[in-house]
Amino acid sequence: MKDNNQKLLIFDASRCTACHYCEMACSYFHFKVIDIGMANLRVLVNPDTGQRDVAHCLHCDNAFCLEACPTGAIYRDEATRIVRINPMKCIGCKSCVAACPVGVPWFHAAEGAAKKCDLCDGDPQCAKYCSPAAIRVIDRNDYRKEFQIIGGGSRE
Amino acid sequence: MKRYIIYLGCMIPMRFPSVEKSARLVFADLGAEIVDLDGYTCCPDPVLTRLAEDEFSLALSARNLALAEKLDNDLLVLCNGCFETLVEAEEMLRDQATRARINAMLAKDGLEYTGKVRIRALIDVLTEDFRPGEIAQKLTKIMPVKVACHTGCHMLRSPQHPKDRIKILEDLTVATGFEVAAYGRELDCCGFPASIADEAMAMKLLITPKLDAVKRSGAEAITTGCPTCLYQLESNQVAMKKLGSDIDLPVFHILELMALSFGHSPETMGLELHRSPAKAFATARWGVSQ
Amino acid sequence: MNEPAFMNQMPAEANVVSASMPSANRLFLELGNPAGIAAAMGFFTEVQKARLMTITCFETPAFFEMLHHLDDSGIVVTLRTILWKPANAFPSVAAINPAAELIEHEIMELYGIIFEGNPRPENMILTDEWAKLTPLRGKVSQLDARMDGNIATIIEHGSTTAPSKRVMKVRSGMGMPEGPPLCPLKCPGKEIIFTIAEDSGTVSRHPNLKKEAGK
Repeated sequence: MKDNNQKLLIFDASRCTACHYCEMACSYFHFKVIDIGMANLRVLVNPDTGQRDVAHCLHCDNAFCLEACPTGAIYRDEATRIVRINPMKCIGCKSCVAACPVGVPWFHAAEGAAKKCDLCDGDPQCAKYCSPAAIRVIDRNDYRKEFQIIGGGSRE
Repeated sequence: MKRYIIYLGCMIPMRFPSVEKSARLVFADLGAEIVDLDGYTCCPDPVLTRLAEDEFSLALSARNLALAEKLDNDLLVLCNGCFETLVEAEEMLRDQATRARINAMLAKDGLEYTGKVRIRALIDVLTEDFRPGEIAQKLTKIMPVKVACHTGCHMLRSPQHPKDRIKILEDLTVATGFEVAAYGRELDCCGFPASIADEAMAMKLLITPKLDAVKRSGAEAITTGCPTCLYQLESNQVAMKKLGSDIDLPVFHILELMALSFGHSPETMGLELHRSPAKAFATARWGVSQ
Repeated sequence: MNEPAFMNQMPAEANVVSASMPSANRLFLELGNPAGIAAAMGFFTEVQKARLMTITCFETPAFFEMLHHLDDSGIVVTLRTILWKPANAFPSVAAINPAAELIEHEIMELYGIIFEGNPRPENMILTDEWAKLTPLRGKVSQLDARMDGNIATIIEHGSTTAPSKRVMKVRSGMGMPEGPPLCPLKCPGKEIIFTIAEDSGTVSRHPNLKKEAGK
């Protein structure tokens, strides 16, 4: 069941300044704190080479986290195709944390539940607050094309 | 005659009056008139205030834009943060429902935002409205200083690719008679936002590698177009010195470098408010009097 | 799911901003501000003859979620109200529904929230040595504590940075004016910015502003 109009995040490392505003906006939106350890996406910076990447959720069609969840706490919102966690069903087993190849889900110890990106209910704050537009929201339709432009280095 | 409404923001008049002074000197030399935006307030800051209080933020931005509309000229924004805030407010206010809601608040102050004003960043104005020759003929004291450029994240809010935005400041620095030091980390953030969240992380991952790269490139000074980056690059050098770093580079706003190259005396520019050795450096290179 | 007919009779003072009904016997009503709780509870107790099941309080870093759960002839109605942390006081509904008194006491003592109008303000559950502690309450969010000051500064000075004497001295030394065109110093007046803050709902989320930056 593919939905080609599904909204997704895309990241372009050549535009990223590693300012961490995306993480701050994310943690403030979800938890009302500025704490980059509580963000649903992660900016990874190598201080030696300056390389950077953002680990963000792709809301995969065959989501590893969803398959790994033993209680059905992780589900797909059929209208928006967003993969979400129901904290009331989550038992804190961290299977999703281990299963995700990107490392998006994380364990919120105080709430005793796993957390992951929910695209801020359709208005991703990370993309909204990204000044150089390194993180953008695009349709799944355009993903492969855009990804090739970014990965293929059409600029250079 | 070119005429601009000048938007100073908070940091420039409150922390770096030297930048405001330089702006007035530089634009007067270039033959442009500066009109002050009386009664403006904080833009407010593009991330923290907006995250916490988006509606209040948007209303204040709209108020500033409405004030500028009355003066009927381009709004020249000297600060990166203000530039992004105002540009984003303009985008959000394109939505008619939002605009009506915000205008209802502004009506109490007798203002209305209609979307007429054109918001322009300093580096865009200096490169688009003035030919390189216009700047070159004003240069009376060219010093061959090797300068590292830092554009700053908020300036990148533009359809242009960040690499092209960075080039604008570099070209401007060259046009002002300096040599640009390529240090490879031009795109990196100054670390101001990250240090709000986690100071140690920002120092380790962003600021130290950036300043190390600047030092290695042989640059003698750093220039930026953003007062917050200026503040951050200076105060972090102070903090790093306490941890045993030997980096002590002067940091200038691009307008300060232009004012110095236009022959204005470093003595009367208020450079002593910098926390980096900017004044000592400027006095040593450009001399005490004209 | 269609909302039950009594929704039309809800008093306007309750200020219900949203309603959702995920199933036939579950109704969530969100109130715009704590002041609406008396009217909402009054309606359910007096008109609907609903039973107060319990009150629960959920803490997030910036606010408390106060949830009044009622049983209205088989429909579980939850009144959801946001209490921003700096306010720390919530209207008591004990006068409307006496069953609320003990439940409010529990929240009062465990979270340190004051219930205005609760007939017995002294501690009933915690022992004396615990009297001043609020065992379930977490830390205040760092940003929210700072944001209060930040917004107060914007209202007071029209800028996020307060002017310093040293900078003013340098400015006058350069022959630059202290007043206009240094506009945030010639701030249009706290009243104008404060009115914007009030209209945009900022003041209701940061009640300390009234003291710090009042008109």
